Amino acid sequence: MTDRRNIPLIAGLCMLPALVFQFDLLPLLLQLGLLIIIRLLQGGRIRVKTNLMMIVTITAVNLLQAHGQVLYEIAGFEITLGALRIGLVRSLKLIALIYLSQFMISQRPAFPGRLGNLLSLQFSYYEGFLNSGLKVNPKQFIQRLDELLFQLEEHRGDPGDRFQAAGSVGWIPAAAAAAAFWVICATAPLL
Amino acid sequence: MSLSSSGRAVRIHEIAMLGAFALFLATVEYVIPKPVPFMRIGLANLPVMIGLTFLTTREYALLAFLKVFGQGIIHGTLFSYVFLFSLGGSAASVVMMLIAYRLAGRHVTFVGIAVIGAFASNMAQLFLARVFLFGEGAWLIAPPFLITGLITAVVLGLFTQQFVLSSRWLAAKQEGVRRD
Repeated sequence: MTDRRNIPLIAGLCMLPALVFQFDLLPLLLQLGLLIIIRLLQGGRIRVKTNLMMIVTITAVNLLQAHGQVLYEIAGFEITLGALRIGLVRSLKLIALIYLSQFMISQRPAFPGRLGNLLSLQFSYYEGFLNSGLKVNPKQFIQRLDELLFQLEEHRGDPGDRFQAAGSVGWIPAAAAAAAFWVICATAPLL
Repeated sequence: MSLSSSGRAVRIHEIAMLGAFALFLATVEYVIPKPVPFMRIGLANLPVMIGLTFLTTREYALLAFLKVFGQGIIHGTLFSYVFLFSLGGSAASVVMMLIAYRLAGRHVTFVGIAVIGAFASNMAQLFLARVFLFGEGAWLIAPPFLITGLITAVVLGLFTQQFVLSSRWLAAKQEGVRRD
């Protein structure tokens, strides 16, 4: 695991428990904020609309189970503080986990052994599919797909990993990010 | 079935290729806008269903693993709940589709197999959603979730049926398996 490509994976594994076992809203928001900053620094995109839809959907379903103090009542439907908090924590944690996961595999970590080779072969073919320019045209889709499968089989490329990874992450920034994550976790009771 | 080492190498390439095909279709699905964030079409199941027709159980399990793990890497969800949902749903559907195909392959069309797979996958995901995201409210989203799953499964099953009947590539694979 000394491969440089595995640095974000190792750092992320250190950060993971601090996120999974975080049940307070404010520290969770700070952790999510940190992950968004990391994502932006790596040149990644933030899907604001998708994230908002996730928050709204998960929170709305959680609100259906009344829990704790009643905040509002709309047409006989009670919006409770406990349910709102649980919904927000669950949705924010899911989004944070997705960003953490994206960080962890941002440099295409090198998986060892036969499985690692098989994954590399899979990605090599995947690149072939992506570069094929296959159009989803319902009329001739099956025929084109067939041709492409024959074509890819003929050009069995070397199984090298040719993916473009995100910007390189060194040990120091990765360790700093992991430390910041735990500092937020440790200071949660003070926030 | 025992294969020569060259035959085994060819088979590994075929599994990797089907796994890559699943990733490609998952990527296509990822960019298709959906009315709700958790709705899925299940395009990536097409190569998995194709695999039913010529892969052994072990090879089929390997293909399913490549699909789930590869998707986790490509979409960056490998270390999140989403991967767990994908793993749970795929494991349930793969097992059920395999059982249906092996036990009643001649009597069930790919539409039936796709519906069985989608139902198993959706039930597994609803259970996980209940545990991790929605609590008891998960059962309230079950009807629309299962209905959309049923519709997309029928469409995917029809497409798979058409592919299996007309694909020369698949015919060549099946012929190769018969010769081995």
